[in-house]
Amino acid sequence: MDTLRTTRRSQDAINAGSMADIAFLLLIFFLVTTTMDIEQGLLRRLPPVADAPATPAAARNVFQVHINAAGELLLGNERVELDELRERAVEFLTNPEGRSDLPTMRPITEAICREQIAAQVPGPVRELWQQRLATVRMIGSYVEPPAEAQMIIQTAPLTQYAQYVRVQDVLEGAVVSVRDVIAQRAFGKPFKELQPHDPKDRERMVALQRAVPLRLGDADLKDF
Amino acid sequence: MSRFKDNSSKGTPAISTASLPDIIFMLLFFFMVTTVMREVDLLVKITLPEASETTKLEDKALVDYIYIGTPQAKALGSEPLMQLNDQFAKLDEIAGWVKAGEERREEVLIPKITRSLKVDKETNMKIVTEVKQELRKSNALKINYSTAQAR
Repeated sequence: MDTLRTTRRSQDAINAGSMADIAFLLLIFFLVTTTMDIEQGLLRRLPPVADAPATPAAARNVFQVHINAAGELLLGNERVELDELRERAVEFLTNPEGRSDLPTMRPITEAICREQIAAQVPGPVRELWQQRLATVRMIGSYVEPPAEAQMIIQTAPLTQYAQYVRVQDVLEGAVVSVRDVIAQRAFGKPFKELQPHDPKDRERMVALQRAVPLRLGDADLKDF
Repeated sequence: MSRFKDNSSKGTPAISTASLPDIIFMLLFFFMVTTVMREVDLLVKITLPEASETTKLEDKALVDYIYIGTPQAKALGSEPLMQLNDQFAKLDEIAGWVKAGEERREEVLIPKITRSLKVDKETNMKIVTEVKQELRKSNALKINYSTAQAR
């Protein structure tokens, strides 16, 4: 009876001294099993497998980069370095001097859009013009490359992946720098500083992506 | 003056460790929130190539990974191999892997699944192209070349 009474009387506090040790163990467990690296990379869309062979694009509308096994870059028959490749890609994307061996750019202004929307019957073509009108309203008049204009990377089986990624990076960099010029003029900040989560910036990004699309293909992917 | 004397004569009191668990718990929660679980044990050596025009992958639950690199076990030679989930796989296993990944998710989310290629930078393009071709055949078109941030 005596012992029963004593236990009831003294309600000892639980010793919290080992709490820190338990927390430390948990902490170390999480440190070991988790990673902090942010997933990032170059997002691309592969072309779907085509049933019928596509009609080949005109030579002026194709910017073909060949990377050989040694990692050297060939543009047509010409050896180029990475910096030069970037400049040439920008030239291909904008064709500022209207050269005949580069894609013909089509000027898009609000007046042209209105004219076309009025002239077209409802359908996909008219929708395209309405899209262009929306883009013009966002970024002002711009020039549009032909739909078949695209950059193509061709590799050799022994080409190093690192070089391929570098070329992908440089070509995307060229596209982004062209977008930057428009973004700076229209919104006062470069393309990369637009926030994808902000709805207003999102619209701006879409407009820029429509005006300067990233069309990057692989010559190695064959249809069969 | 007498006050000063009083304090110094007492000696240093023990620092209370009562708040130590709280501090550790705060650290713990910080790590739990900012980090993610390791996806798999890597069987291949991978050093990612660098790129500067990168995009962050938005939704990690919608990303499947393909690892390509030389095997970590020396006995397996130095030819690059592909790893899917927790084991080495051959090219013709990609179609089944893609299908399994699609069945795991809601139907509306299937077009949003990204296949992230984590490829060692010294790998030859041959295997990368073959993998891409296989992905294309099974209509898994959204891909990501996983890279490290340059500088």
